[in-house]
Amino acid sequence: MPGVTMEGIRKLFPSSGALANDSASLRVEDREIHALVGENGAGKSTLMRVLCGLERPDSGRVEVGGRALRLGRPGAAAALGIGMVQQHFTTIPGFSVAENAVLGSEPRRAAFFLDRRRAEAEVSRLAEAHGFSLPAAAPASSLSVGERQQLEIVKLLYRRADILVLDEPTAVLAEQEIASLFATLRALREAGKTVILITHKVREVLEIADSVTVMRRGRSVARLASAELDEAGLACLMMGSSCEPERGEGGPEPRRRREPGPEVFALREASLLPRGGGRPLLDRVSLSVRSGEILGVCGVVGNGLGALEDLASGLARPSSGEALLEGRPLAGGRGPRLGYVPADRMRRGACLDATLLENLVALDRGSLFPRGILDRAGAAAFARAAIERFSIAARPEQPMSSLSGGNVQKAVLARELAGDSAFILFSNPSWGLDLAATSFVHERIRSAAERGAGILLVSANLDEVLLLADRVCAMYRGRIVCELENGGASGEVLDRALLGEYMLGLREDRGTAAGEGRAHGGA
Amino acid sequence: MEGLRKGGFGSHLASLAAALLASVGAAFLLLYAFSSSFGEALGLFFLGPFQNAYYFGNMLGAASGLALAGLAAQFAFSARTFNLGGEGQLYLGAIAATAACLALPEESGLLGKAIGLAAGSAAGALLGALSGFLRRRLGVDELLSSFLLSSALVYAGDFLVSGPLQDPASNFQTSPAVPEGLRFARLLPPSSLSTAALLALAALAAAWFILGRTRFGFELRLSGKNAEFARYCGIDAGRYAAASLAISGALNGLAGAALILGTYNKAMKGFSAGLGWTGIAVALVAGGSPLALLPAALFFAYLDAGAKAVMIGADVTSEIVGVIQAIVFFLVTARALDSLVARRAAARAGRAAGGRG
Amino acid sequence: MKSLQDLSGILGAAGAAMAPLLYASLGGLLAELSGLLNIALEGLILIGAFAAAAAAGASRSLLVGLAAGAAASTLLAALFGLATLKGKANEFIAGLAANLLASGLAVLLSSRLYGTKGLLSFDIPSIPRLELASLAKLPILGELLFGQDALSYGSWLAAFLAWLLVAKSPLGLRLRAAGSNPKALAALGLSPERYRLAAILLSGLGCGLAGACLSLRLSAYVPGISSGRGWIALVAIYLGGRRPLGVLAACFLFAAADGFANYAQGFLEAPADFILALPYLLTLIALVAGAGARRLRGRD
Repeated sequence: MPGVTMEGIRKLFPSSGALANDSASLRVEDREIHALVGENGAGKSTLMRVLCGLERPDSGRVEVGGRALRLGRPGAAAALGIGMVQQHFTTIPGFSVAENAVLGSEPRRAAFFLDRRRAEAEVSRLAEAHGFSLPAAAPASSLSVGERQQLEIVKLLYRRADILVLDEPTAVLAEQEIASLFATLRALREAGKTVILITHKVREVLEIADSVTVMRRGRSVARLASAELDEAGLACLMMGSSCEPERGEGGPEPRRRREPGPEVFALREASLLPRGGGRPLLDRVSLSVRSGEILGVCGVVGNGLGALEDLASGLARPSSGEALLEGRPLAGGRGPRLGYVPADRMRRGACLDATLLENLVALDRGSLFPRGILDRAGAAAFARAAIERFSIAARPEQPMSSLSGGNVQKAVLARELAGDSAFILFSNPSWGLDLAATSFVHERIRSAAERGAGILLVSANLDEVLLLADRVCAMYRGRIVCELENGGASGEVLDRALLGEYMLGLREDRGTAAGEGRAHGGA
Repeated sequence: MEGLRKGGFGSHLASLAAALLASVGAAFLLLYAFSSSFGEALGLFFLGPFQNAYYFGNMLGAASGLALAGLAAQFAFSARTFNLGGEGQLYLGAIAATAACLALPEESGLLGKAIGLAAGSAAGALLGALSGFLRRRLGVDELLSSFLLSSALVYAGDFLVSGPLQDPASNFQTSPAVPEGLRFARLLPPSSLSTAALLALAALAAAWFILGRTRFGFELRLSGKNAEFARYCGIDAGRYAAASLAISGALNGLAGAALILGTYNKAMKGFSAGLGWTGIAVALVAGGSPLALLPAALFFAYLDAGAKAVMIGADVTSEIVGVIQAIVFFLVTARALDSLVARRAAARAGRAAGGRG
Repeated sequence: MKSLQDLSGILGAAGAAMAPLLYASLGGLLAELSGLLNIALEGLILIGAFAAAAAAGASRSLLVGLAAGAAASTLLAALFGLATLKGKANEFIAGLAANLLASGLAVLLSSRLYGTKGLLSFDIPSIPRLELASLAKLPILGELLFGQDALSYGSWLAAFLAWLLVAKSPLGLRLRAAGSNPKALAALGLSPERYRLAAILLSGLGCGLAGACLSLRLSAYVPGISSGRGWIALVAIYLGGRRPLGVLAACFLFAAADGFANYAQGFLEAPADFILALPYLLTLIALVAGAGARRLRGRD
């Protein structure tokens, strides 16, 4: 008996004119783990939001367990046992774990009152039954990212969901956490639940899924058992005709390594304390980036990568220690020698309310506003050149909010790589981009290093770090716990599992890291 | 930069038209409900302002004041700050200008006028800057601080006008009149239209240039649109927010001073009441463009003139304008200012996130 | 302080003055928790006061007056709520519009119905008081605890009910969820907008009672009778840490400060303008002090 059948789903977003789903279909068997895969913008999330009643499709029908689903009503979907863990968790930090879990179907006492004790007991029971250690009475703000994900799953189980949809659940997790999530999903399958997993990571699909639906540009293009598939084949299905995986046989074009030049950027024993006190966000971090090299820093979300990004970009001042750009302290207000491609490209890296042109000229104001007045011809020429060199698919006067995520990132790159920065900071530069845009970004990072810039690549994506970096540091709880050569003379790529252990704090060789930092500092 | 303007312009035209229609409709309904002779009141309301040169001139004179007050509100909006202290800034600006001019000799002429205007602007700027300072240093929402400060200082203004500055020769609560030589020339006597209108036009043109074409304006607008992005680009967004409030206050003070030198010639108790609020309405209708302030100000001046004509000629109180304005507010903001809403929503989200600490 | 009896009198007066502030502030708190800044409190109080006085005057019944005040404010609140929630109007501007509308409408109706824009006095029965004269004579807290009228005690009850609602009920949980993460609520199939609208209507109800409190006690409607109380009520929400009992304390603080200022005026001879400015100044000072304290503690 089929668990879920979706047919002819069409969904147009009138505001952006995007046709997210175009007669998309999906069939998921009862009690299987089904992967819904595709590039960014392929319409996976929209299709699942339709299933959960969060979007009303323009046309199409959905059956769950043989019964037709009333579309566009989250309540109706929930009544048929469908629940979704969204990519951005809907946890409320100010509420306790139990309050978060029961919100919307609260146990009551005397009809009017919330029965907190029963809520906590029930949530504890559910958590234990699934091997989660969630303190029911603790505030949700105290949970780690992995725990918050567990809370989201408990939330669904509390509502007796039988069909669980998870949107990109592994994006925020470390290798070992992913393994435990997968164990949970398998246990859920054994307990009679159906799981639908949205992802674009080919490797995971083959590891966890029983069957796969591939989506491309709003359509479902294939449904296969995962046993019939291999990585290359699945990647080809996802990308369609332009099927050239970045790391095919023989790996990428090897970068012409230059001997690293002088140090361009350094952190010396730099700490960053949170406002209001508490555990330091960064704890005596030392690192050094030299001209022409790429230093990769990886870590699990919540372990200080964001703080490192703020510090290295000069947006935050170290509470103690130093941040040095070409030997001089980085002080508020970024200058032209520091390029910076932030993780939050939609808010920090771009001004969506402004035009593409305004975004492009926002950094080099000194030369585009001679004597404080806009050089209109100069700005227009600058923008035209940037658009051409970075093949941004937009006109200069177009509002930034109308650009796709990939084009926004290209615009950020165009602005940040326009000058002759000595040091460039990249933070999660390919996050959320499709394969084509990702390889575009990676190529620009490599060429910037070849030009002689020193590059700090901060990323939660281990693949990206291993692909690009000359040296790799791992961060755990605000500290650098290792510093390792990557693909050095031997050309050997670091072991993922080993790095995963560092990232989870299972292993640490801090002495080495600090020693390295100091050694470079002396250079 | 041009593109931004163009993009927003169509929707501003639409909202302007909506506001116009809504207020005309509201005027119809209200006059029908609250006047004993509907036809007569209707005629007075809509045609009254064009009845004679006096009424017409008064309307244009009022529009020039509204344009300046509207520019004040708009300058703050450009950096996405809210200056709700217009009432107090305008009133105290007017009083400061009066006090300065009363201390000057008759023959100080152009320089005297400039000093009067500067005194008014400085008083307004001081109040605006205080809100800016509180926001920057202590994180006090300028929306509340500017309102509260202004509300309190309006009473200080009342006290000054009826106390230290009181004209001993008058039975009313008013200051003495400023010297003849310091007043702006009347353009359509005896109406209130004076060369202060040219000042307003010049201010609009200057603001258009500064916001659209200069680095200062660009950085100010970027700070407003996305403070995080501005900071990322090396712009001190907080400084621009504070600066926008000070400039907004200065423009309100200038409006108050121009009102004294151009129209009233003396500070009377509560003479400018309501102008600060109407300035905000004018700015909302005009949207982001300083040049659009001109038609918006004319439109509100027309409504006001109509209401005055009805009050004098028929039996309807002029508060009808407040109700009409309220309806315009409701309708105009339903479309406009989406981004301002977004800023406040972001601030709220930030507050919620801050609770995690 | 001349005697303890004076102090008891001042605190008693503060208790009475607190009632309208508290009703309005509790209403505003619910809106704030649900994620809407209700700037319209001032206007809602005003229209409530007008409707309550007019209806009580016409019917000679306090209850009719209260009901009319509550209904009028709730109606205006509904307009404000629909404009912001359905029309996506800026909550601040729509709030200002509601304030403008209330004051304009009150004058128009007053001049149309009663032929004057000024004071309207009505023949309204007086509000029942607790008849415990001996207890009320107790020093310091006597007047505050035992010498109040029904509307004061009602405001205490309202604070208690608001506390139950916010802290102890599923509705309160959802209301707060609508304020802190509307998407979480929407994902569960619950509409944040509906909870916000409910909160707005409740804040209309609170302001209606606040307005009724003002005009029924006076047996009259005076233009501008709300005299800034809506704004102070708004600040009391923040000063009270966005909790019902904190709001209660903040409102009492404001009322007591006002009471002392009036008392001091008896022998300090401050100009009347200063007294009128005082609520705004106090509010501003409280706001700045609160922000300063937060800065010092390093939060926010």
